[in-house]
Amino acid sequence: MDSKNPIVKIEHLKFNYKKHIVFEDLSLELEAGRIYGLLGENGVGKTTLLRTICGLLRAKSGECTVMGMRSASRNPEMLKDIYFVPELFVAPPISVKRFAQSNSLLYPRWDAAQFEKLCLTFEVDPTYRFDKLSHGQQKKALIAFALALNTRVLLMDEPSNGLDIPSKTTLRRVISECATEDRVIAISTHQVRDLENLIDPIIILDRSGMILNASIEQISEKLLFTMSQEPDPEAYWSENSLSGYYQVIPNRDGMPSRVNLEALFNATLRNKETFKKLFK
Amino acid sequence: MNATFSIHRLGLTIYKELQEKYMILLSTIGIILMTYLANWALNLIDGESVAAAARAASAAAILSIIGCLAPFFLYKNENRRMEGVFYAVSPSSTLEKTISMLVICSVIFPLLSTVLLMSLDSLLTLMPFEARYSGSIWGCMFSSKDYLDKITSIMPFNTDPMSIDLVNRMFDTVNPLSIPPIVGLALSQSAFVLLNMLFRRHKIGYTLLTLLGAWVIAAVIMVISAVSFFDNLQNNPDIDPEHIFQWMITLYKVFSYIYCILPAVFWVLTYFRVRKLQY
Repeated sequence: MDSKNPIVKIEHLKFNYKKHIVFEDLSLELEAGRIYGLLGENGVGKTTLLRTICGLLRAKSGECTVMGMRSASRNPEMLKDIYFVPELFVAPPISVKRFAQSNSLLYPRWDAAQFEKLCLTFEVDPTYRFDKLSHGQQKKALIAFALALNTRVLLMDEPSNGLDIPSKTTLRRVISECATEDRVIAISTHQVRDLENLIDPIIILDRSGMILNASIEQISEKLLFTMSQEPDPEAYWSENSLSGYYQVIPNRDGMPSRVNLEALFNATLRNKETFKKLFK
Repeated sequence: MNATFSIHRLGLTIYKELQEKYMILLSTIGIILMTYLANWALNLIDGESVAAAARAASAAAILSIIGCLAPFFLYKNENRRMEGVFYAVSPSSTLEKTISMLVICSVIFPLLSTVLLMSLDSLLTLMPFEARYSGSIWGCMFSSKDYLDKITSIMPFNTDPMSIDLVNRMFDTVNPLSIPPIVGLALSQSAFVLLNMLFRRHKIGYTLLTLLGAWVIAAVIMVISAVSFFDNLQNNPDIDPEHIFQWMITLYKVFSYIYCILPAVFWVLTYFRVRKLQY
């Protein structure tokens, strides 16, 4: 992948919670104009990575910079251009509107009209008390707020968790509408199907660090996602079903295929070293 | 714009926090006023008139106790991993966040609660009941001299002329060093703000344990000092009383200075605590 103008730059990051090592030597760059999908099993450090990028956590060693500023120093100039939507949060006992009014004061690109419109799209009434809304409604209100801040870096931890099916569709639509050329969005998720057709590039993490960091185009150039009646002996991953074998195989002939994120994730976890070399 | 401090950002931070916390602020002041009203109702049942000095003492006590609890209500979640995320990612520097905490906890809250409590007291003095509240306590809360004068006027001192002379000299010396109750309230809150930011869970419990620990250590030091002081007195019976008096005044001055310096130390420690916090 080209690394022309990274907004977020992570170099040799090491992080651990007491004895539990999360990252030993992670290097990564996030560029503007993309929606990164951060995938990985439980406990591999997806949330830790997002929290480190926005300065909520400090790495033991290595460097994480956002727009050239060290994220650990929580510089206000950096913070005004970054927002983090946590998976779980405690909503304050004030109305959504008041929360948005007070929390947006320090963000220069806040768009109140856009927020109203997003609330309408998500069917959230901003006059309701934030803490009295259901979990899904709270999440939608916070996502609407985060998108309307128009920060250059937007980090979302499991944004589709707790949303109903129509809301997940709306979420995909509004995120793709809000993605601009100067903005980087990073979304961590377990539920890859919720965000399929939205996230590109894909980053897959495991306990040893990063296994894959590639765009959908690069993935489809190298891998073929296909259904066949016979299992391929070189398949990276296959699943038997009534209609045959769904497989991830090497793309020998450069055939185009639609990348199935769930299949890609399973194939990656089974062939970590092979995929590391393949997408180096 | 300066990354460490900007007056514009500080103003916005204070405004933001007031917008979010004004209900908690008003509720806490409501508790103070209700406690004072309950005290007034009890006096009414007793049927006795209450002098300004006694009311000033009880007002100062209510303001101190609830005022010290205020940081725990106002900044309950700011250092917690899940609840404090919005505070941590808000684009103001650690210095601005600490100063905004100082302004809200040690200026706005004590000033607002004291003014409203004094206003309530003034209102109660107008009530046409038999057990009346008489005299104003406004001066007592904003001037240490008025407060000490009124408190000493109701204290039962020894009538021995030498003792009275000693007490008068003592008060004449310490009066200029004393601080008004409202300033005392503002200064004493710094310790509670620090402890509130230090402990993530069971904040009030851990704070009480810490204060108890500090009190035990202070008590042990004071007992040891007093024992050695009186031993010294017994061994030197011809020591000049004036010398002892001067020594006590010096000790009082030292404690007064420590009392004024400690809040600054606590606020600096709070700043570093906020800076080091991880979520």
